[in-house]
Amino acid sequence: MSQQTVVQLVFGVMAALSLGGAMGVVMARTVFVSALWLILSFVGVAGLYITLGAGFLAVIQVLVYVGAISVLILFAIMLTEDVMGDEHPNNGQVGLAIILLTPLIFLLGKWGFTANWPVKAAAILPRSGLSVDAATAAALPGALKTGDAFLVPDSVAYLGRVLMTEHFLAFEVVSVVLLVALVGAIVIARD
Amino acid sequence: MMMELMPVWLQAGAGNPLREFLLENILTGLSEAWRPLVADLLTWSLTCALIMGIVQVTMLYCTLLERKFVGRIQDRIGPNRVGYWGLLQPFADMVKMLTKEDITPAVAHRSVYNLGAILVVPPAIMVFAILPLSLGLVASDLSVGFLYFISVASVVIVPIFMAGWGSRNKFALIGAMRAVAQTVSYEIPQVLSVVGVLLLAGSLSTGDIILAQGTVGSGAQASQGFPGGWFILTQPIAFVIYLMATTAEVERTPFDIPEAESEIIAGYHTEYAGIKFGLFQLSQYFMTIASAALGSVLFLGGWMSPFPGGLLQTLGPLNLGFFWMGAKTLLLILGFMWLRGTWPRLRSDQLMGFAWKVLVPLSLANLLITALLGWLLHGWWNASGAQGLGRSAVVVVAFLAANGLLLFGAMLGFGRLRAKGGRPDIRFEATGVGSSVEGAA
Repeated sequence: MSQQTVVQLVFGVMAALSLGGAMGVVMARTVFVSALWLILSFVGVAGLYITLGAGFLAVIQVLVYVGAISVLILFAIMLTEDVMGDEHPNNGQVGLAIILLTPLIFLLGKWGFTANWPVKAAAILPRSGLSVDAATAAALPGALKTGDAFLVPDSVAYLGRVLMTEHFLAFEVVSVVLLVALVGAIVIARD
Repeated sequence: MMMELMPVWLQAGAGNPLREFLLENILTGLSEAWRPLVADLLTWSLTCALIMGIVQVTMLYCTLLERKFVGRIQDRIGPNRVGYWGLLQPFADMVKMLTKEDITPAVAHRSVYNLGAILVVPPAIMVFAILPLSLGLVASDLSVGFLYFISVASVVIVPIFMAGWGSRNKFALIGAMRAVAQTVSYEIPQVLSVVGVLLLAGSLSTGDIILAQGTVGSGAQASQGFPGGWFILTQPIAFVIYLMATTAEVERTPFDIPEAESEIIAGYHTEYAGIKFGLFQLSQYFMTIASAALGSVLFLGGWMSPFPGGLLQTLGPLNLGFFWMGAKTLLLILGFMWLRGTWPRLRSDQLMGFAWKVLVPLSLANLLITALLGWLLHGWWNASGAQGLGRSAVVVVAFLAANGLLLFGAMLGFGRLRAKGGRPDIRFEATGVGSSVEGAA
């Protein structure tokens, strides 16, 4: 059992969590329980980020989706009397859904496995220390050379630097959008 | 392709003294392919077991300490019948909890009700992963340590919500909604108050934050980094905001509104009995200990000795880090207990107003001032011209002056708001803030 096996094992568990959670969302009879399954799915996605080495993203996923957004959903469900009872969300269109979705999933999978994902060879970072070997370089023609240092996405400092330089405009626009949302919420709440 | 990209978390053990010891002395017989993996697993298991053992015992005796301490505050003696000085009381309580009848209400949503009690504990245990008990004695010094703590701690509200909803009890539901509103609100000042510390330390990792507080005076490493010493000296307002927000986060008096027994019986755990109720208590005590430990890491220098020049940091071959860390954590826990013994409970709307109208603006202003001062002084404290204790003193005095000005300005501003009256919902009262935030929550 090598480290790669461990990674694949963890990946399998996390994928099962997120898919199983998603299944639970549509299968559950009560909307509240659906929301709980959704939280499990969010946790699984956070786990997937960890297997990819994106610890910061995983932590933010838990903080924002599990800790805040799902709570908002639970609140919204509990404040809406009509959807609180037990009921059958199943409307007899399972067959149609399967027929429509199977080709879509197939196409997405085919595209995902054959696409040439752009991998950016980053500058050497203090926390990295991993480099591209020959097999990886051969698998990604044009994108990487043997010996290139890998960006380790866990580097929070690197993320901060990039957000404040390369993607500064987007970063500021997002913060303005959030500010507008906040002001709007306060205006609605006061009226 | 992904397989070659070994995630950082699988290599985090490198450089750990325990791991090196295992590799060199114990795991010599293993093949090269297995040795690092086994060493990593063993290091993690042993560290986790040690930390968990210490935390469990601390938690058990925290309950006794709390009852004794609050008893003394209220002019009582506290438990003293089981064992000498009541020392066996926690075990008696444990046996009592375990042997009580396990009751599930007939109308409860069974699985959600039971899962709520079970899931409330894991997040409270997981937060200890980033808290260093001593130099190098940490389960995982993540580069996102502080954020990890906050995000895992915020997960606790999901099982609380499950408990409140699954019990099918009005009081439980009210308690859960109060708990969630309160936790979500106080997370904001809690994080904002710490951002100033993170700015000055230049890192989110708990290990780096502690090390950043060690550069006082003229040590070997004193020419690098922030020279202000412990962050309580340069961030006193942030420290107080952190303590208040933490008290609300872990739902302790005066912020125990979710379980206010005079209003809503016991809040979200009204319907729980026996060990399931015990699990909620366990989770709350774990969170209290963890928050106190994080407070001592962020503001009180963690495992560092409080004396200048690292006096008593080591005693012979022994590093006293664990002692200092424990002492500081205990100090903060005693502070929480002191609050509990002396303060009345706030009203729910006062509590929300206090978070949004006082703590959030104050911590934002503190962040702004910290960033400004750090930016102005940063070049100077890194310059070689200024060295030694004088440099530290100047930085501390500058930050203290800024904090004093901020506090003065805040009191003036809040006082004027209160005097002006204006709309009734922004008038400040003696115990906190006016009314009507709850409708928005």
